[in-house]
Amino acid sequence: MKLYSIYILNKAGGLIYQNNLDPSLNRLTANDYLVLAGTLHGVHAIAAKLTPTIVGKDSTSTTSGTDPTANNALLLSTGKVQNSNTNKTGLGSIETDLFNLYVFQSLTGIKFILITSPNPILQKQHEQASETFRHLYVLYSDYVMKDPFYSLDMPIKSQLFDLKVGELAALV
Amino acid sequence: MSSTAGPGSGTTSSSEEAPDILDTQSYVNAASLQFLLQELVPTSIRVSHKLADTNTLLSLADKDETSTIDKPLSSIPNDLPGTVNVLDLAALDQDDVSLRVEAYGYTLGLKLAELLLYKNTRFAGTGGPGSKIVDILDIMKFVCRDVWKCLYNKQMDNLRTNHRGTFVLVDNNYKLISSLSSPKGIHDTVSKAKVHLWFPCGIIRGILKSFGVDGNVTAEITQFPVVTFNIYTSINN
Amino acid sequence: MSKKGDDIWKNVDKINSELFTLTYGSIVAQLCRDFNHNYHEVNNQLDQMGYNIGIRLIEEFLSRTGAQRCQSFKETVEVITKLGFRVFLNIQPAVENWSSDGRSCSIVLPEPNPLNEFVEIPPTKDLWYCQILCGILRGALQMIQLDVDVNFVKDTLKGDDKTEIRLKLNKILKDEVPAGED
Repeated sequence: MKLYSIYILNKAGGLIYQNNLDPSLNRLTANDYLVLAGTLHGVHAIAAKLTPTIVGKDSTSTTSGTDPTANNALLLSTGKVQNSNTNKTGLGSIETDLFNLYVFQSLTGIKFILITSPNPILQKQHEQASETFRHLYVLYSDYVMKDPFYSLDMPIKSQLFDLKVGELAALV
Repeated sequence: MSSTAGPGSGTTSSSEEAPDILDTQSYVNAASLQFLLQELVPTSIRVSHKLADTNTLLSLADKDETSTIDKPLSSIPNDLPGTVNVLDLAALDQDDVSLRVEAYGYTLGLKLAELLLYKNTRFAGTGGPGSKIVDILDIMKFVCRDVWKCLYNKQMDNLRTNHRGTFVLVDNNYKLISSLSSPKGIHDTVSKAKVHLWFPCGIIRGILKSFGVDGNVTAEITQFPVVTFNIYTSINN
Repeated sequence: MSKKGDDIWKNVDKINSELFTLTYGSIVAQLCRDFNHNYHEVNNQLDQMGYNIGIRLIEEFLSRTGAQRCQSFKETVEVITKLGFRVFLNIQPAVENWSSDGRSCSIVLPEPNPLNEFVEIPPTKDLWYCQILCGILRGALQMIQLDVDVNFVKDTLKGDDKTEIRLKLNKILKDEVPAGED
């Protein structure tokens, strides 16, 4: 799986970070990226309303992540890291012939969006995307939250964060 | 305590002593300290601002107030939780902000030396540094090695002296400011980083004082992130 | 970096708790001197510091532990005491005194805790030494759309038998819950 680009949206749906990791991608204008982010935010929310109601809360019925109570119980009993993606009914992923798009949402409303190369073996790529989101979330917490010059919900302009994201993309 | 029966061990094992209560070391998450230190400079600015504002001085709080997401933290414009506008104020250059940050470090430094020396001597027998501190140069080496290791997990990169009481300590990648990067560019980063540097200056001054040495410590950024600490004492070595 | 299923506490960067205790003590002492022993001001400053820390700390907590949304306030408090305090301060407080509607409870901090170990405060009834914790809890929970009241009711530094924080859920900020959770 090759990472093409990463978008980070704040809880209002505004774009706070965008990085084209593949240098061969065409660059859009800054405005285009903002519009794209806003559209994704809207589509994600609309999808939440359109999704058929999930019957019961068994872990087999959801696509991304497990039932929250079971997740937390497992977390407390084992002390091991779990998956914190709260994206249950919103737009989870888009798969096309040219690219795949994955959405991860945290409890605080931050959305991470990955655009990757297409891959016919879907389940494996889902897991890989999941792992990548986890590392990305840790990087966000380390280099953005702990940056004393960063104002919450504002665009991220940290060079260190760019560097670390580049390293993560190279590892994938 | 006797060891369980095993091949060749039928006698009591003296290595299984009761755990020494002074030997236990407790730990907290390094992120906790990092978040606390992140609040040092903004708090100092807010306190300075509050004390300088003569209106509020007369009506200091007589009850506890709680912070909420939309309640301003001080009368500095746009100072809401989560924002860093408090750092943009020209007040950042004020002397008493720096003095207060230095004071946070000084109080810490006074106690830190004793703590680290105690830990060192305990392990002197097991091959730790454990050397006696005899003169000012030893104190400086202690700062460069043990104190820096405790605070930043690395040692100071260079120590120079003119043997007349002046010391220059150089850290080539000072951790406290190496991850600072202001979106406005390197000049802004350096000027904001200067205030943060008063904290380790205070720590070093506190450590010197706990040894009975009066010193004057300043720091400068020659080339980001290299930081040079200049220490002037009245002791000739 | 940790993978799913890794032990959380094992992967945490650790420092000596005394360094933390001394740093916090230095800050509180200086605040007392600056405000001329007006302890209400000191409490307010500590609360503000805590609030600022809390709104950032929550991301650190969620990214390192992978916790999901709790289905009840009881579960929330359980995650806070068993995971949150453990991951950041390496202590596990006890929870007691639940109200009948399940919306408020007391968190009792174990003795000693890293903030107030070996500390003595001047003889006063006004200073809440660990007030920063209240700010942190309030800020962190605000970010996950829970409006809570957090205050100290007892403090061993003042001579009480235990250090107790009262936690009360005011409301869940339903409008701010992100889309996509059911």
